[in-house]
This record gives sequence, C-alpha cells and structure tokens, in this order.
Amino acid sequence: MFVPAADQIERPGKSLEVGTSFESRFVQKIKKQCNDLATYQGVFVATPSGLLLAGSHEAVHDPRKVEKHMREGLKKWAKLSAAERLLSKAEFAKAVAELGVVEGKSQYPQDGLVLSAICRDLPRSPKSGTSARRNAYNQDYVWFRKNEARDFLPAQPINGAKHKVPRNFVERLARFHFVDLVRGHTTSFPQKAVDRAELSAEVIDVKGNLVSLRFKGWTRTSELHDGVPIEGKWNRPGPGIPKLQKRGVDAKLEGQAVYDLKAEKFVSFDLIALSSRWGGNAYNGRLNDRDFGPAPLGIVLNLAGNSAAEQVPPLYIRKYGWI
Amino acid sequence: MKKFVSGNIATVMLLAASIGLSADKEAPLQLSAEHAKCRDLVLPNSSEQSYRKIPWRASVLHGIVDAQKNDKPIMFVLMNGHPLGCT
Repeated sequence: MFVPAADQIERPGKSLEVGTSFESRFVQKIKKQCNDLATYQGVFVATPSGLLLAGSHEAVHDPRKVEKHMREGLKKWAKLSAAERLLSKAEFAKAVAELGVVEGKSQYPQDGLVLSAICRDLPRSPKSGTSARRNAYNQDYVWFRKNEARDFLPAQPINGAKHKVPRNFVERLARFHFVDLVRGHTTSFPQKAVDRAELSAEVIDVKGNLVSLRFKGWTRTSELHDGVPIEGKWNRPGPGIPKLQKRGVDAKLEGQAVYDLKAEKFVSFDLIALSSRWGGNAYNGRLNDRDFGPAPLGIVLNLAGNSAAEQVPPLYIRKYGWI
Repeated sequence: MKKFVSGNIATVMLLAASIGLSADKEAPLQLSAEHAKCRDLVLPNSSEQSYRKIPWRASVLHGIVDAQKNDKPIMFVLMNGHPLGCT
C-alpha cells in the first residue's frame, strides 16, 4: 500500500530545511501544502511527484489520526493519473543520482561494530510515577570501525588475558551514549566533563576462532554550567529550579561479548550500564517534572542488525570526529 | 520517548507493511544480579519493538525512489532526531 520512510529533519551533511537538494525541495513542497507551520515534524502521505495527499504536523503521537491520514491518502492516490502521481523520467533520474551520492558518503561501518543503545529509567520505588512516560525508552546507535572493534580484545587473546579498552573508545561511550536521552534530546558531554572512563576486557574462553570476553568498567561524567546561555543550559530560571545545576552520569559497566577472529568481527556483544543520572533540561523532558535526580538510569548496548533502519547514524556522530 | 512516537505509529503502520527483521546473535550472559535485572528492565519487549517489523526506508529520498519504482504513495514520518534512532 505504502512505502514507509522515517527521517530526521537535519542530518549530518544534509539538512532537509535547506532546499538545495532534490530531497529537501520535496520536503519543503510537502510542508507548504500542509499548513506551513514552523515545524517540519509530522506524518505525511504523498506521491513521489510531491503532491501531499494527507498528513499533519500534529499526528505523530496519535495512531488514530495517522490511520485517518493513511486512509485519506490512499483514496486520493486511487484517483490520480500516472502523470500526476509519479515523477518524470528526468526528475526520477535526479533523485536516483542524489541517493547514490548520499549512500556513497555514508560513514556506516559495514565491517565494524554497530551497537544498538537503549536507555530507560529504572524503578525508583514501587510508587515511582504512574504515567505512561514512566516506561518510555529511547534508542540510539553506537559505531566503531573495524580496527577499533579489534581493540576491544587483547592482541594475543588467550584464556585469562586481560586488556584495557582504549580510553578514547570508553570516552566515546561516556560522552555520547551514556547520556540521559530517555525522554528526549540533551547535549553530549564535553571531554573535560569525563571524570572516569575505564573498561577492561578479560578473555574467559577460546574455542577455535571464537574468543569470549567479559567486560567490567566504570564511567563518570559531571558538568557544571555557570549561567552561560548555551544549548542544554540547565539553570533555566523558575520555581523549584536550582540557579546552578549540575548534570552527570555515573555508570557501572558489565558485559560479555564473543569475537570471531576469522571473520574479524563481534558475533555477540552486550554491555550494561547501570547508572545514576542527575540534571535535566527543557529538551530531555526532565524540566516539566522537576525530575533532576539523582535517579537510576539503565543503558543497554548490544549488536544491531543490518537493516536500513538499523543503519541510522548515532545522534552525536558529528562529534565522533569522522565527518 | 519511543513509546510515544514510533511505537504508536507502528500500531497503525503494521497494517500496511510486510515483515523484514534480522535477529541479534545472543551469547549466554554471566552478569551480576543487578546488571542482569537492569538489562531485563531496559530492553524493549516485543510489543514495544513492533514498529521495527515495518520495512522502513531511513530517509525521505530513499522512500521517494522506492515509491516511484513500486508506483505507491510514500508515507513518511519526520522528527527532530531520527524516528528510527534517537528522537
């Protein structure tokens, strides 16, 4: 019935808002046909030619509204001629060419280590919150290149061998992935906010090409904003909001993984960050509830699949230093 | 946040999509009790992950190209932050 797609408005190297690409012009065209609110966010049904069939900026959180738009879109689609609903050959060629360029620039580490990172609040007490938001979780991805992935285990992976995972890899986790994203976005931590970044790997078994590892570690980030108006400013004035507010994450790490020496890749990977987080802002949903912690937060990393949906770049990919 | 955004949309989208998922390779885990409990509490259940069964294209452009090839309308979700990633 449909070709489903999901996208973020601004992506590394390409913003849908700019209007300098086929894709961004398409999105702008759809937005203008909607109600042209300031936001680009929403759910839309459209023809490849760029005709808006149904949709709105508000329907994202309401499945019934989405269903209504989908049904409305299908009805309108059925009444259109091929010339109305499809791109011309020339326009389609432009779109295909642009897609090729975009895919060619992808930083996705096909042969590296791609992890799914799920974060969720952990229970604080039997009465800790009753709203649906209590169970909210968020999803991000963690990328390591092939040579980086190999550095998670000792050069000579024999039973009992111990190895310190390079600090810059652990800092990548602490700064960009052990952050409070449960209910929305926040900013990553600057390097100077990293107090601890330790992860050790121990070889616990070797069977043929397969090396089993056990991970243990600890990261701690802490940051104090001093009133400078930057994104992620914690001390937004208001009743009950501290003028100066710290933020941070203290994470105890445990995990296990299996690396295939012949295939040169991990075939399983689990790392659990049992954390305490503190601080919050308007964007990560902690401000409204004055839920500044300290409060328990769980983050679980494990191997991602390789579908298109699982090749979405990490939220802070721009800060990886890859682009 | 996923609970509100992608999960809800998925309920509807599942009506119109086919299945295409790859599975994680899992090894038996030996974790402390508290880390094992944390893992169980954090990982989404199958209902929460249902939106992953939809064969999403991860960009509008990819969706347009495939919609044209298949002569179908494109249904797309736009968010600040990727709806399939961190939103």
